[in-house]
Amino acid sequence: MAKFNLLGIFRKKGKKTRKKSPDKEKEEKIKNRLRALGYI
Amino acid sequence: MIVIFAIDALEYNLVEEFNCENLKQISYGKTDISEFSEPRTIVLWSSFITGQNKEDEILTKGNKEMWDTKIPIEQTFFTKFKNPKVIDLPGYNYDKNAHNKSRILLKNFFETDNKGKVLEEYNRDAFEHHRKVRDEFLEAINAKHDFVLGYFSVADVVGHLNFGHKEMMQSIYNELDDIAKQIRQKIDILLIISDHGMEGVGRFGDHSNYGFWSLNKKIVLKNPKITDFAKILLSLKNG
Repeated sequence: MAKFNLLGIFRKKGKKTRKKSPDKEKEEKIKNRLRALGYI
Repeated sequence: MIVIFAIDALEYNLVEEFNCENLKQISYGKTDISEFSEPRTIVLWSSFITGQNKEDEILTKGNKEMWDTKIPIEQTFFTKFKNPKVIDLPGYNYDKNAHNKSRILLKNFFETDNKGKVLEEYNRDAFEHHRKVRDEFLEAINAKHDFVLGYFSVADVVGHLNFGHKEMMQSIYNELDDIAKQIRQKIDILLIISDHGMEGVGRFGDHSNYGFWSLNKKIVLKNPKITDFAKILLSLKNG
């Protein structure tokens, strides 16, 4: 029971990280490239 | 008459894949643009028309200001012709408002949630501009010029957001191939050249680090630089 509670607290405090979808990553990549090339 | 069919982002591998015989002409290959830090459109076309690497000079202007570059005719090989006609070329005389509009739509695409609508407008705008330049180019070739250069941006503009859409890219390459077919019978020397090519990033397209060239003459060129073509053209002109 105590372990369950500890796990519960850990999950609540832990930072949730959502991985970007591959499409979104590629969109970010091309956006940065277009910026570097002076397009946007 | 000498004609340059200048195509932004014409990709060597797609010309091969779609078997664009009229774009390939008799001699063709990749250009070497490794002397440039990045394949920037304005830098590459300015370097092409002057026969000199203009990167340092243009980059000192800043990313935004470089789009205002207007190389004086005296610095270009166009002066070697009596009645040259140059259509919509970045770094020289392009329609700045039209190209600015395209870049604004491109920026909007990345900032909006309604990507479908912006993409539709972006593509439509690119095709409309293409048709306008195509008509002017074909008209100029039928007029009394000794030199005509037409610059076509559609493969670059559409490719940036649609390179993964094979059917759309093939229809663009077929259209460009058809223009080459229409003009090749009417002229003495035809150079088809791109500033850089394009490589896929998912559905998007990024500039590749080589360009494309072709000539309607038998000629052996080993990894020519984009800055070599001013001299090559003039030597062909002088026979």
